[in-house]
Amino acid sequence: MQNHLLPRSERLETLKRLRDFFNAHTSQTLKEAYDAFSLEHSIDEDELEILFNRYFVGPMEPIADPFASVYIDDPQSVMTQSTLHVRSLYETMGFFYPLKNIVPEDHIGVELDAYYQLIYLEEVKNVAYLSELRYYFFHEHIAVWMPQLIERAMHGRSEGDNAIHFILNELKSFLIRETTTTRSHE
Amino acid sequence: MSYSKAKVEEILNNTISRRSFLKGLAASGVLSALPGGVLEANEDLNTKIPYSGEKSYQTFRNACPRNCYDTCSIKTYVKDGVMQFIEGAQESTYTRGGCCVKGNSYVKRVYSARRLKYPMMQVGGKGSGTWKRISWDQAIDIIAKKLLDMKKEDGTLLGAALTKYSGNFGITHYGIEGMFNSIGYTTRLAGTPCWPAGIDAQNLDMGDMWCNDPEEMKESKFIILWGVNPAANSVHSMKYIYEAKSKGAKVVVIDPIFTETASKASQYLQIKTGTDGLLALGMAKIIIDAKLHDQKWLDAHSKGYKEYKAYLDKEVKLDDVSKVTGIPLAMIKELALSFAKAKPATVWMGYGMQRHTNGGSMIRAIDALVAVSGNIGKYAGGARYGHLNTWGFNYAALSQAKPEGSVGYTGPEGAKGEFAQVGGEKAAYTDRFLNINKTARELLSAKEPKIRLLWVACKNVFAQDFDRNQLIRAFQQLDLVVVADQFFNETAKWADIVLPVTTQFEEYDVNVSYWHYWLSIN
Repeated sequence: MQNHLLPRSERLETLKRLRDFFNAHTSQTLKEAYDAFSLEHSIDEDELEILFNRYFVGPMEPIADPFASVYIDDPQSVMTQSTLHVRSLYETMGFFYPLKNIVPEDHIGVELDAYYQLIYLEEVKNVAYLSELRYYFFHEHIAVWMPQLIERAMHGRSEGDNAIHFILNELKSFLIRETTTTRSHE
Repeated sequence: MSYSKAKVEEILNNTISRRSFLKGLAASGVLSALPGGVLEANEDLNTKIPYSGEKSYQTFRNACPRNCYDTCSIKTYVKDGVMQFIEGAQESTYTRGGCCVKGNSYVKRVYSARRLKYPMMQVGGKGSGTWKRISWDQAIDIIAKKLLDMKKEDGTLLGAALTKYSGNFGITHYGIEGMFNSIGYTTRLAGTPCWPAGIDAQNLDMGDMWCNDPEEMKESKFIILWGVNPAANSVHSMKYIYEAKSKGAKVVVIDPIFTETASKASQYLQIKTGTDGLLALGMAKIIIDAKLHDQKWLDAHSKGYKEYKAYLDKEVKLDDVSKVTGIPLAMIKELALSFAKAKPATVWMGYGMQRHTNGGSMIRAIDALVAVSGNIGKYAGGARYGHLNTWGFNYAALSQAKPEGSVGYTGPEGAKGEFAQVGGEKAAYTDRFLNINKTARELLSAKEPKIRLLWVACKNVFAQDFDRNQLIRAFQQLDLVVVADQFFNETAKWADIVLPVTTQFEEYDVNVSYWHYWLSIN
């Protein structure tokens, strides 16, 4: 199974780029995160943010809400049971979340950050203590909702939205690679 | 690799397993190995056995801030830092433990994924749908710079306008009027599209506008619900009406529409729209002709009774009353006489009728009917419309003087609404008041200076003010439109800047009602 994975550094780098992209909240940081993918398609900084906001932020109803709760529990709500489950997972993993009660823990950027740090722990620091929780987090949670986000975003795509399309494809490919590596033995 | 779902969930859910796992975590060096990011390593990891029993709720006091008779006192239940549900506060005898369906759904509102989350700017122009995030500091800088530029170019701040209405009646939401007052003389969209004719009518009749406590209605012997539908829009008042009815009171609904309340009444009279005043005059004439009027009270407390009676004698023909109102004369007579005989008797007037031609006069005619029957100023009686004095906040930020040297409007003072309370001595200048009921036209036609900045608070202009096409033109000619709201709406679509605001569950506030006499600390 291991051969499905990207080489260690590339796997981590892809994850880091995805994390940074979905956590960006200025045109500049978003553009930097986008450029880090070295995609052929280039896009203006402001145009990218406008596009990103239309898909994932608002103020109008975003094409694809960036919160797990919307896909798992209730299409209209944040801070549901699944959010609290993720909160509990983070706490058990030893994470402190400075944005608690400000940005829900199941925001795509926060979850990708958690996943990045867990992979980093294993690949760079060779610490496997959280591996089982990491697998669980991915297969029982991330893999449940992020594909739905991708599908919804792809479905709402308009002509000219290539930049977002490319990023979603990167995310999709990453999820597929991760999905094929681990299974619950139950 | 594989993993055990059951094992992980054992760690997550079993307190002993979790404790052991966390102890191992602390010993394994994980925390120092985490690279950090949005999430950080928890340096204060709690490895004690957590409480495993059912967690109790934290409770908070809140109040519903909507433009609603009931202004519910609310008790909010929170667990794990998340609102779980709300209920009406038992301590308020008016709310008495229950909220309406809108109230009960507040948890969904607070945690709606649709809420505005950040200050944002529509960079491609109003209505373009091209939004960028800005920080609060950036938003404040943009707005402040526009104000300073206007002051420099116009010599005044009258080009800055505020339109605010009833989206939130909490005291802290008057802070926006305070902010506008604190910078100088500005322009206000003033007046009220809601109930002004009735306010004027009651002030003319009573000298002020106070309303009997709705909780008294349970002791009323006769209740006329005149153009009001509390079963739909003041559900907490219904229990007093039901109680009165169960004690033998007659409950009559007069309404052009057979409402939910009508279905609960002893009698329903379907009146032709806009003829309520004539019905009230006809009923008064019947009462006086039958000598069931309260002459003693009228002598002691009324002015103009003689002229009023002469008007009834000369102008009000009962056959015409029946014909015009569409109600059989026998029914009108029976209603008038039974109303006059019941003590105490009360009329609750809704806000619909006073929005018609002669609306204020219709409220006055009903006031007079209640006065003739001797039910004004009586416990469980009264001509009920609402009151202003309980809730029209006029706190320091609102009434403070403008900054020294401020230049304002010198023309005739425009109409003030119930929200435009400016106290103090007569000044050389005033704010400029534009008619809120003609928002689009007023924004377009205001001159010297023209309106350049509009701040929208507690209001969805495009949903509540008429002439959408003209509103679009009016908004497009403004340099800067700021919309503060919880949600993206039709008005936000035409804004330059949207600012997200809190719900009542995320702020301190004080709320009172224009109907009952409870005050809620939020």
